[in-house]
Amino acid sequence: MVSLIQSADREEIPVTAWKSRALQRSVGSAAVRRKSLFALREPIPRSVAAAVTVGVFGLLFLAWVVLSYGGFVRPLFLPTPTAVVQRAITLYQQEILIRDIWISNFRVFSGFLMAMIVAVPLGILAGNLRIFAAAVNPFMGFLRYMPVPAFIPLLVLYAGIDEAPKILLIFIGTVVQMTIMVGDVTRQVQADLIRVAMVLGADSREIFRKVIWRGSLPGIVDVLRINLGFAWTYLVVAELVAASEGMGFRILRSQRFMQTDTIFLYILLIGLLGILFDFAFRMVHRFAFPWAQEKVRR
Amino acid sequence: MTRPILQATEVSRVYGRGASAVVALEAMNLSVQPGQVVCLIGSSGCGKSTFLSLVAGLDAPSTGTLLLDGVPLFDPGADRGMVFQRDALFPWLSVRENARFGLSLRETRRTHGGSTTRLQAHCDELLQQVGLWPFRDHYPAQLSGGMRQRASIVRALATRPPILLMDEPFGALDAQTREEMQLLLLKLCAEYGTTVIFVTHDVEEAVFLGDRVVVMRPRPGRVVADIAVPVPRPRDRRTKLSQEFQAIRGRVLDHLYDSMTGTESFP
Repeated sequence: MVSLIQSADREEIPVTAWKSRALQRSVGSAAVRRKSLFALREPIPRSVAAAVTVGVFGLLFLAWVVLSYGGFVRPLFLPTPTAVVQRAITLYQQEILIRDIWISNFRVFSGFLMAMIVAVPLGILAGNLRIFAAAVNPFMGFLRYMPVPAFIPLLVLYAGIDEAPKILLIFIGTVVQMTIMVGDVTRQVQADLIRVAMVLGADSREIFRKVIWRGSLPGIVDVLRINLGFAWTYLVVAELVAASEGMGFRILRSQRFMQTDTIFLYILLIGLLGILFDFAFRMVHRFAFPWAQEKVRR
Repeated sequence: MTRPILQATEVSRVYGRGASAVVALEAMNLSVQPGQVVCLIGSSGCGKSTFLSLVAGLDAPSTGTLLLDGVPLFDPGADRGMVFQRDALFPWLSVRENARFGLSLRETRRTHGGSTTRLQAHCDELLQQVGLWPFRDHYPAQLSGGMRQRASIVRALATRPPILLMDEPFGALDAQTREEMQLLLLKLCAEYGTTVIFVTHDVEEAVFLGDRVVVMRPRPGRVVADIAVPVPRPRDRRTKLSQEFQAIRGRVLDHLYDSMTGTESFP
């Protein structure tokens, strides 16, 4: 017992010494409490985060500038930024650019919205009712590994060569993942919340509406955000089917004419659209679900 | 004696079947008078939480009958309030919306009819009473653990249930907050005459809150002692220092340790 107290006493000395040293340092410089930028899962200053983000884009652009203007790579393989911008202007003047962007957006969003209409209710049901889980989950597992482009011949056969097969392909490409992901998200609503609602007298429909739906909505918006990205990646495949316009079509066609600048232009544009839509979804998330933001937490 | 508000007769719960069957609760008999605070205590696996979910209607007994105010109970319902160990507030609702959740449900509207406005006023009153009124528009994530648990107590009491079921509600709180919550609970129960079934593994808490302490024993879960706590009310912090309190605490501990040694025998 005595030795315990003594050791506690001895502990006391270095602790205070350490504290006073820290205190001195904090008086000496303001930077004492700053954490390392590489501390695991610790926040970093916003300015640093922004600088790193912009820096990555800047570096890539710089590499492009040096390699293309510097003549290190032949224009056939790597067009200059100027060539890409010029191509954009030409295509805009020929009224091709806007038309391509519009029609591709139309196809992607049509397929995506169809997938959403099917996947969200189905996912919620499969996530919470065992009978739907038994019906949906193994079937989705069966569909999930099928190569989407393999459906093209069938789609042409069934749906012709207009917009329908292109939209359907994007639908097929996203609906399976979306259903599975929505199911996962709704399952993550805590069982305790459902039990609380039950004890307070909620019936099944009220539990679905007031607990499961409300609780998984932010997760569902996230799933939609991720799946819109998947939908865009199927665009080129979709526009393999007898297309005469569209961003994917333009990329494929440019290959035939070795128009690398057009390919660069459209790939970059799709990337930009992606950033834009991602940002829009994040804003929806932030303003529609203030309770689900990291910052709300203490 | 008046009619018991809760009457459990030979209630058991067995999980699984055959050789792998686990008896979570074996032939439990318990009769609770209106307004009583009954604390269930025991080590994990003694069936105290199982019994509570049976009373809540979240689980059905394998055998035996449970009568709530003389009526057999099946489903969960607004005639029982429940508070969980983790506060289980709806994170997307403000404190006030959480407190009013039960009032927004069809069953409450059916049973209380036009008086839901009065219940809402009562709910606001409760929020004031527990000191959450200034925080009524906050989200649960913005509150401390003690505040969250207070909000879930208000939510459970808002529908004016005659009986409140609490499953280690203060187990995750720090000692000081915990004591505050115990005093608050005693005050609320005294004021509204609510019957409480309180599950805990803290002997001091059980004796402090309870009119009775029911000691349970695991494998199979069953009651080993039902100890009356004749410590007068209102109780406060100093109650815990009284000789009477300590004597009862000692008795509960004896039964707990007795039951522990009883189960530690290996074949």
